[in-house]
Amino acid sequence: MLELDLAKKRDSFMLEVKMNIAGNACILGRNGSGKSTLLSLIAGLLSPDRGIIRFNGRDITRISVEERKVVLVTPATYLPNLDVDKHLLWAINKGKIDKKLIDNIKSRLGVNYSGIVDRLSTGMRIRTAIATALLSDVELILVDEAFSFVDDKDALIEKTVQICKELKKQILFATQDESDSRHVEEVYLLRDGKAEKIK
Amino acid sequence: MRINWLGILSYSMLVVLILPVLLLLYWGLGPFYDSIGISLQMQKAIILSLISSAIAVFFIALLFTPLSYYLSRNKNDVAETLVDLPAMVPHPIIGIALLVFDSPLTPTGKFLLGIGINFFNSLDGMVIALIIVSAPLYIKSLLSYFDSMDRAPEYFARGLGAGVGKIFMQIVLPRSLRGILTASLISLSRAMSEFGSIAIVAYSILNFFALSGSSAASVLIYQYYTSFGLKAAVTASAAMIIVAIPIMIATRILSRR
Repeated sequence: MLELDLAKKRDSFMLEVKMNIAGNACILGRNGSGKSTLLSLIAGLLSPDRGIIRFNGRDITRISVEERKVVLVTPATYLPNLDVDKHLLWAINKGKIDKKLIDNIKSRLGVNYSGIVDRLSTGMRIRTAIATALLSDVELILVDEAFSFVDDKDALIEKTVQICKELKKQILFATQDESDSRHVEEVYLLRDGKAEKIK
Repeated sequence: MRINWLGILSYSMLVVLILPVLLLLYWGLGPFYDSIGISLQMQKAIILSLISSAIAVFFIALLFTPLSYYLSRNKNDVAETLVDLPAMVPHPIIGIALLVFDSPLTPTGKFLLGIGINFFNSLDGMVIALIIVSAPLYIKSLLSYFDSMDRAPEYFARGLGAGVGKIFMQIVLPRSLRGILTASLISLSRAMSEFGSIAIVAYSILNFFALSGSSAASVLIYQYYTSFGLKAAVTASAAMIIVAIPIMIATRILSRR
């Protein structure tokens, strides 16, 4: 459960939202509607001017990025110097490696390639980053437009949401494509810095 | 055909910049040639300059890479100004400061001498002086490199729960080798050209194997100038430049790869 009641001013743009997101959700909005700002605030990469971010009952507004258990995935968020297998294992404690789970997620998300991540295509990097986030002990995964860079976008969203349910993680992704919203329980429309629940 | 005035102007300025050095090479190896300038003493001085500068740059890279990264990610004007301080003061002051720091008359000096660390006329003193005067350039150069790096991988790694140490060692450092090499090259150039501080703290080195009794090249060139006149100093300077330029070019090529 993600509870947001926050405001952030950036130049002439004002983001002001009040949202209670219980399940997996997506945020629809055009360029400049505030999607990236909102996700950056939840991830801790920006600080709100005022308000509160509560996740599963815990106030995470002032908690450091590394302690939030929230990760933001964008087309640029990957660990460029690692090979795919090391990337997937990077956030897992050595004693907690579950080979079966790793193989399962790799196969379902189509991570069937190897090599240094920096040299892979954007779509492959995004798959790798999402798989890494799913395998980590992060509890909330935020995806900022990254799905749209993947060729089988629908399948990837569907499988990612399904795996999140199985692993008891929550996902919140931003998109401009309304059809992406059919894979999640809740949909919000962000317009001029205000959020409206439409599903 | 369109004339590239900016290119012509730029390369003209480059010529202005290096003309005195080119002329020095011409005079030192030609009309003003003096064999004292390439004597065994001078050869040892060049070797000492290269070795002490290389050791200094090794320690600079080891000790100041984390500081450069930290200052890049946590902007602090006071700390950045303090980093510049050794480069801003006249360098003999650094030499005098080190002498006071390691003087038998001061508590710090008593302590250091008590554990066998002597800066005066020693390789230790020369290397420490070179570290202090060359580190600011290294830090500033690497700080700019870290500033220009894409931070998305670091944000991702932090979101995955990694601490700053793990991110620095496993994500940032492997992507920074070119920046570290370039910054090292800049501080190596600075160290090899240093005169003011080492002329005070380590005029000649008394404790370094076959190089015992040698001075750094910059100091010896000054000695030649005052003792033997212009010709010996010009030839010695040309010899130093001939050794330094290929090293600089080789390091730069290496850092591009």
